[in-house]
Amino acid sequence: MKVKINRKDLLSGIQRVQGVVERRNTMPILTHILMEAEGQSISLFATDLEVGIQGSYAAEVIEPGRVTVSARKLHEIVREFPEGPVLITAQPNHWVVLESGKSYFRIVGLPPEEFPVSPSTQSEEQIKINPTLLSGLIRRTLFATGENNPQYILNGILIQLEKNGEGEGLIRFIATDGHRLAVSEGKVSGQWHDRDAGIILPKKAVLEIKRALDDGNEAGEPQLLIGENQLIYRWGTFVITSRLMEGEFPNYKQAVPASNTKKVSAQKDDFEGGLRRVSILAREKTSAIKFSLEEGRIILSASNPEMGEANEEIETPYEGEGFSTGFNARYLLDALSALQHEEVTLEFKDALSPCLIREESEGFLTVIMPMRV
Amino acid sequence: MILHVDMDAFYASIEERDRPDLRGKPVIVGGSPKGRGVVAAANYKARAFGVHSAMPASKARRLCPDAIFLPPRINYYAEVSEKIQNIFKNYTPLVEPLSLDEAFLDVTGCEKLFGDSEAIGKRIKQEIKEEIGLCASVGIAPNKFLAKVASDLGKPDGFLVVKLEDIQGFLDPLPVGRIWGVGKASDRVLAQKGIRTINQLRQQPRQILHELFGKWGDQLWEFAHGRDGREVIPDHEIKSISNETTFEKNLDDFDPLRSHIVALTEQVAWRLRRHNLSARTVEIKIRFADFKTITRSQTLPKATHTTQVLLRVALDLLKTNLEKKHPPVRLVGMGVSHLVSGELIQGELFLDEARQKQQRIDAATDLIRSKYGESALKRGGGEAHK
Repeated sequence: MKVKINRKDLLSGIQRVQGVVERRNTMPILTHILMEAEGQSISLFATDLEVGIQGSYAAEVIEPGRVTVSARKLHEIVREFPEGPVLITAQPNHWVVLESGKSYFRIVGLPPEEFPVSPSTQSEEQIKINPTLLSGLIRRTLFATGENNPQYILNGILIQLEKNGEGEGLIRFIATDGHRLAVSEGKVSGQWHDRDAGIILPKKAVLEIKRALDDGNEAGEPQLLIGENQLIYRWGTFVITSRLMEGEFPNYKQAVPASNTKKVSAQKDDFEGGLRRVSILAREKTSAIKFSLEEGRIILSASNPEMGEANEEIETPYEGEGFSTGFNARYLLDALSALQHEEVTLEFKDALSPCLIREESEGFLTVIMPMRV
Repeated sequence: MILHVDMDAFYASIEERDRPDLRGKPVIVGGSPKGRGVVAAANYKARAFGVHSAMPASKARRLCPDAIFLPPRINYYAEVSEKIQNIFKNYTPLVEPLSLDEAFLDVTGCEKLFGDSEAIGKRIKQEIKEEIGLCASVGIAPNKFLAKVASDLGKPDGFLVVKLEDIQGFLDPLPVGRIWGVGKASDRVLAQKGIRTINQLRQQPRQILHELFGKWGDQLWEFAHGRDGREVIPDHEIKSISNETTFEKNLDDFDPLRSHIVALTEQVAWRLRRHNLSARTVEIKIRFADFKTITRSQTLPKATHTTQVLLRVALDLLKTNLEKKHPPVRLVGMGVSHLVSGELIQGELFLDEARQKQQRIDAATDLIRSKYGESALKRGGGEAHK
């Protein structure tokens, strides 16, 4: 293999696969990047066996071929190279030479045959999705996923697809860590099979898709392809493949309260600011704050035996019976950050039951379980 | 030095304070005298007729027909209590509330700021009178035990300081019943030995008391000498909560023991929840007629304050550790430790229904208790239920 590629393209290609490169050395090949030169491009591929990322970049292919090199060393070297072309040359016994200007690096690779095969990216089930919509679905649900939750399945996002007509339908993202729930949906087009349960995508894959969307600037619209036990995200030449999680996702509908009649509205900015300020004195581990509702006002308060106490009032047109409950302030702040409108409405039943916040016009709802005072 | 501040007839005094028409009249706060309620608090006018707390309200009415009966407003009393505690906290962070109406304060080291302990005690008493409009009795002594005895002795409107050099002179003439924890049962045992005053108790060899009461005997002996090593522990540093009952008559059968454990667990769980705590370890204590005492504990995977969960563990411990043929039992205790400190407990969205139901039961009983007092509601199978 012999390829000439612009340093800037190479560096961004390396950075885009970094997220799945194995840091521990349990399987050395997984700490490497596979580079494959063919036609007029070079593709970079890395995987941790759960999630794989592949991107193709324009290059002058002098001689096609494949090599693997340590992702970390490659990144360190290319990062320090000056702007300009980089020449990558394969040598016998898996040596790889990197040249730029007057710099010369010769690093040792591994046999490319050992690299896990990149999964097939063919599937009949193809969904076209607007990149802004997909970003929104992720942004409004990712916060509610579990973080190393012992209930393994909660570390994923459930994706449901509903048909509304020929080639059209709804896509719905659902995430929960057992304490709060977020559901976001939007319109998509494409072809897919009916399935009751939906598919569950690991959080890591969702994060990588989000990063890819943030980088953006590909041609056309992203596609989601559902293959056997895997989901493929493809936008232009950039591909993320992820294994699906197996297990039973909790019945989220059961957690969405149906009869929360106490509706408490407030200006989102006021509420958010109050939460941020009061939670400064909340206990760090739980961010617990007290939420007291009275006619015309919400009182947020926090106290910490080692520090002191804080409280703040927020205006609300609420006129019904009041109550007091507790919340993890972070959960409320996360939920607020997913909202579009300037006014937020919290829907309650009582102090012990889940609080519902929704923006129906945006296809979003979130449920937060209070803390027991 | 330690201060014990005890509000005089707290609930009744609050009602009197708020309603001038009640002043000078006997006031009883508690259940209705028509029903089966009990007296939660009585002012000194009512006490003069022999009325005391925990007495059936119907009996109180017979003793004092002119008394004015009022339903308790616990939430309101709790607010007043919080204001009083804020006064304490201006003087020392080491405040250990025992209930809504009494607390220990450790003022050691605060003397440079506010004057000696006597001056601090006077100022606190004064501030409670001026700012809250209520009367407190204050006991000041080198340790908790003496401070409490001192505030009790001074009541009402008491102010008593026990100096280090006066301890023996202060304690000696008092009846043994003044000692914290000496109830009817211990009183009787001591009386049989001719021990009526603390002086007589102090003259006993430690060994004799140990033989009579086990470890509690050693503790008694220490108290009689005016010694108490317990520290003032602020609310958020509570390490454990426990409760125990000494029976009037030793018990042989499992069922009554079980009932006592139910009642004790109920109280401990309520106290846990009241302090916003959850516990990981459950312990039971069994003392046999021969004063041999065993304690057995079990640690749970997750901290809880659900009565049902704590009860199941406590009863399991009782069942597995009480051999078929055991000596008669004179005391059982139930306690919790490994507490998760005063934090709110995050609710679960996907609770199975059984757990959800238990939490609702606890919340409902706590609410009723906070309105009508601790004895308003008890679990079936509990001691009071029989």
